[in-house]
Amino acid sequence: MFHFVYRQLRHDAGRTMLTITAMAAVIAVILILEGFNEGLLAQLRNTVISRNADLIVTQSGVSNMTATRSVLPQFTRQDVEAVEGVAAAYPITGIPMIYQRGQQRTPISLLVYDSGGGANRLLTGIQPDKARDIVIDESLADKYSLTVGQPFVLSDFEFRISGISTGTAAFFTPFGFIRYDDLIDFYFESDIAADITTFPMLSFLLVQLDNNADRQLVAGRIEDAVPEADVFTSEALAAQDEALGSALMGPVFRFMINVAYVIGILVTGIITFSAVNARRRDFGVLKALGFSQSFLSRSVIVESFLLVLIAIPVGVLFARLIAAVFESVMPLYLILASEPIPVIRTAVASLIFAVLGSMTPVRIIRRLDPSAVFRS
Amino acid sequence: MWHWTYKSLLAQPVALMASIATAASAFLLVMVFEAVYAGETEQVVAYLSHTDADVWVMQQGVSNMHMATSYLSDSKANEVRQVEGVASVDQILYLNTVVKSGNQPWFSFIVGLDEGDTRAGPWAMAEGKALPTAGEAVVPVVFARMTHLALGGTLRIADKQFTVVGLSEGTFSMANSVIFMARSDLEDIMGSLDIVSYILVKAKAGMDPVVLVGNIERQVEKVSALTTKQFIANDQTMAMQMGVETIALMTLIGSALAVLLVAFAVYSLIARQRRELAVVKALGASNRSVYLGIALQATGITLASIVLATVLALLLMPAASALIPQLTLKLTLVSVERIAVVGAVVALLASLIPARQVAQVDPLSAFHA
Repeated sequence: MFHFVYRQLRHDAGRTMLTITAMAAVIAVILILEGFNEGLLAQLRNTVISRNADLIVTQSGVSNMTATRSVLPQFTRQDVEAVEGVAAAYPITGIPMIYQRGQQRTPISLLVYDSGGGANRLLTGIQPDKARDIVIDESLADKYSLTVGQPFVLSDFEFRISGISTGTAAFFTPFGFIRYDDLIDFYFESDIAADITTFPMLSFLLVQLDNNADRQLVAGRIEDAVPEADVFTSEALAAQDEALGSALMGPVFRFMINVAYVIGILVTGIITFSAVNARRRDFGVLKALGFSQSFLSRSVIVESFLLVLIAIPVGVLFARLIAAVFESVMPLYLILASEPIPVIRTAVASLIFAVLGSMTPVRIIRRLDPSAVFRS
Repeated sequence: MWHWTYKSLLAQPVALMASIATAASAFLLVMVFEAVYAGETEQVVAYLSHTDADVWVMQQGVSNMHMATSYLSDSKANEVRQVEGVASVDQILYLNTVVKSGNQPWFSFIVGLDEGDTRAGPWAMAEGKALPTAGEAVVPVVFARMTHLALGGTLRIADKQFTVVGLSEGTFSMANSVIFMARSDLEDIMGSLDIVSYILVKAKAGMDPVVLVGNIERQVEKVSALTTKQFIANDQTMAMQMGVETIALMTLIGSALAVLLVAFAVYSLIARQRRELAVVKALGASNRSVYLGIALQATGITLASIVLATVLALLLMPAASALIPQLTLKLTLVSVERIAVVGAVVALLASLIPARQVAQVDPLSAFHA
């Protein structure tokens, strides 16, 4: 059987290649679209997790880190550090800004930190260690052709780029990292606003616990000690940010992905159907030569199955290549095009529809009159 | 040739239908994606487009609203009011942050309104009152449906709770949903008093907004002023970077697949007729006629696919919008025309490969087999 199918596929190698390419392209596109969604959520999750905190303290009622305003009273750090089980609390402040150069503008998120919570993966350069140093995300550096050592002017305040980080963008926004020492200067010297009280001085506290301290227990103690604050584990806050991303972009992304699914899978079925239907005459000849109905039907199904089985890894490869190209051109985006669950989902759906697509010509083969082949 | 083209296409009805179905699926994919893109692009500046202002005044250096931070002392509104050519001014405070209804978080733009400020408030209401007072909020009706929020329900911003008193129409988009509340409440959330974000200026009759922008920037210190048209254009550019650009990329990828599928569908159908075309050539048809016939077939398949895809899109879109209220779909004639033109070009190019093979074939070979 497999030898027969193999010979059938080799007989018209050009068409076989074309069919596999078309199926692989469908699979690749579905995986890329899934990859955008998965990447968006992963970026949101990573933004919280890569702050490397055991617990994160937010303003009471605030349960997100990204795209939200959280303002903690200035003395919260001392209160939290006084709680039993807390080794240290590192302050961070998030400020949404717009970076402008010439006519180009980009929304950025300025993350102000003291000693913990800065960018944890530098592509080049060093962490800020001098006055006015800033680390910027690679997507921003790429977009504006910025390199280490160059000035970075934000609201008329001149920073100097000390490093370029990677994996530091979320919610379509690249991050910039500065030290608290520069924050006051930035507020006073820049054109940011006439009234700096409108800006937060402390948004979150990243808490490191003593060895063997129980996270839930310490979280409860902090909430008791600081009623103006809520406390989350990094994982819980990351899950909240993921939920926000899902709620915001999910319905639109999922709609587009589902449309691509339905159409892609339908097309896979049609392609399989067409591939078999085009060889009706050949099947008639084979029937006339004595091949059984069930043999031919099984061979058609096996052929479709094989085509999709070959197309799946090719599709995954296409998807990864396209994702890599997109990410290198637009580093703001993370495209996780080969996550296991979407790959399995797409593979199973493609296999089912390819087999279903080949069922219709099986019926045609069944109805074929072998003698008709010789009459034409 | 016309007759052959027509008969030849209909001679393989199943193959023809499969090709049309494949191409139509590809076109449908692009149409739906373009509709999402067009809908979001328009909706993302819906608030600015509906406010009744000729000029927007903001903090110096700021040039849009989406994700921007603009704070001015509210005394600036009085200074702007004195500028020659200004008929009236309104002021809003603005913040983008996460709002919670039940456990559902949503990223929103909060607009703080002064009492009686109809110019900057919601422009169409589904239910309830349009202008909130202290402790009240007006939310997009889509947001209310999503989160099962009704009039009298509550939503939370940080640790503050607000009662929903109105459901507004047209104020929702994936990247830019607008919630209205009293300016004093927003000042309270932000912990600042006597500040505004934007001043909406109505020009006197006959006053050119461009001239008014110049007047304001000359006479009021440390502010930027923009005509509404420029302000909207700036905001749209910025908002596109927040999600809509991703939709554009997804549309681009979908389009690439569509190009491949259309090419595949047309190529497969024409390639299947190679032998028949060789016979036609052997019977005296010129290469020109062969090319013309194939081009006609490719165009026919494309047109039929476009019509089918458009009909399916028009049927699908209202159903999708009803099922997923967050979706704003807009299929434009320009979009359909563009898809049709690109599709026809791709189909013609794809049909050229088998046509060229036939043109190069020795007519006698048709009779060798």
